[in-house]
Amino acid sequence: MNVKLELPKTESTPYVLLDSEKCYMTFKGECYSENVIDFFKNITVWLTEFLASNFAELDFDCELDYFNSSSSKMLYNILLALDESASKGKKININWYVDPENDVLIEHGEDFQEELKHANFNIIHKL
Amino acid sequence: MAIRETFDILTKPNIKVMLKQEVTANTKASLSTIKKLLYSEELPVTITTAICSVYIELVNNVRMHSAQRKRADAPLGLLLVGRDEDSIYLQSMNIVTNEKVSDIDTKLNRMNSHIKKELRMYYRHRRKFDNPNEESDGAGLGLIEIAKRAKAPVDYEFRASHEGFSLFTMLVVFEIVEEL
Repeated sequence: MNVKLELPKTESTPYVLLDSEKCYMTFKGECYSENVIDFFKNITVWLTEFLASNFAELDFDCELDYFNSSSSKMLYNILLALDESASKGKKININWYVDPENDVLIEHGEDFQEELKHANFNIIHKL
Repeated sequence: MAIRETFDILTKPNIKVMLKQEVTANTKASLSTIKKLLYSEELPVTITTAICSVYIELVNNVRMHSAQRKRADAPLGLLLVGRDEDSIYLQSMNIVTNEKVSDIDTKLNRMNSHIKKELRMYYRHRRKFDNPNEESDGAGLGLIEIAKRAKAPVDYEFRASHEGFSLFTMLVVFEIVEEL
């Protein structure tokens, strides 16, 4: 597998860093690509291979300012995969960074949080 | 739609953004313009995010359902963002085939009949059970997202156009209340 997958931030897609050596993932920016399945394809491949590997812990920092409904579905699938891994004993920490005054993103975070049963999902207010 | 009514819409005062023709080609640029408008108004970040969310979902709706296309990937439609004295409005217009009218009408009626809390749960339900290809058709999660973010029921209508087609219009209004 690719040890590291890094995608630059664009106007409609976030900066992405997936690093299997550091057991770390981050999304940062906006996500409303018109070809959402294409955008998430390599991310999904990396994640599937990583979750099948011998790791103990994964940290995922998610700092999205905006995402559309199609991306929401893809994010949900990623979070479910992480939650399933957590159910098998892996330690998964998901940090959902939000502007404390942005009720839209806080609501999305709360809804994701309620869907997950095993992973640690933390809603963190940005200073 | 009568020429007079079309003229009235296109000459509405205070239109800030007008995206026409190939709606997807300029989505990013137009969103950038809308953001500048919203930031200049110094609106609460929640309203700014909600308006951007609705705009992107309206674009996607036109992208998926417009029956007029310059090319397969170039759907034609019209999107307006305007600023009235006490509101910001977003309006989309595109031609749809009459086969789609009943389906879209049913979905929007359902959205408008839900209270906000129900829409939130319904969104989660659809996100969980729809497959990506279905939900990306712009008539699933996207419409629920529009209804969730709108402060009032989504105003929409279908008008007979040429044979077999209708003009589909959606209007979402955000009231802007000045904080004293």
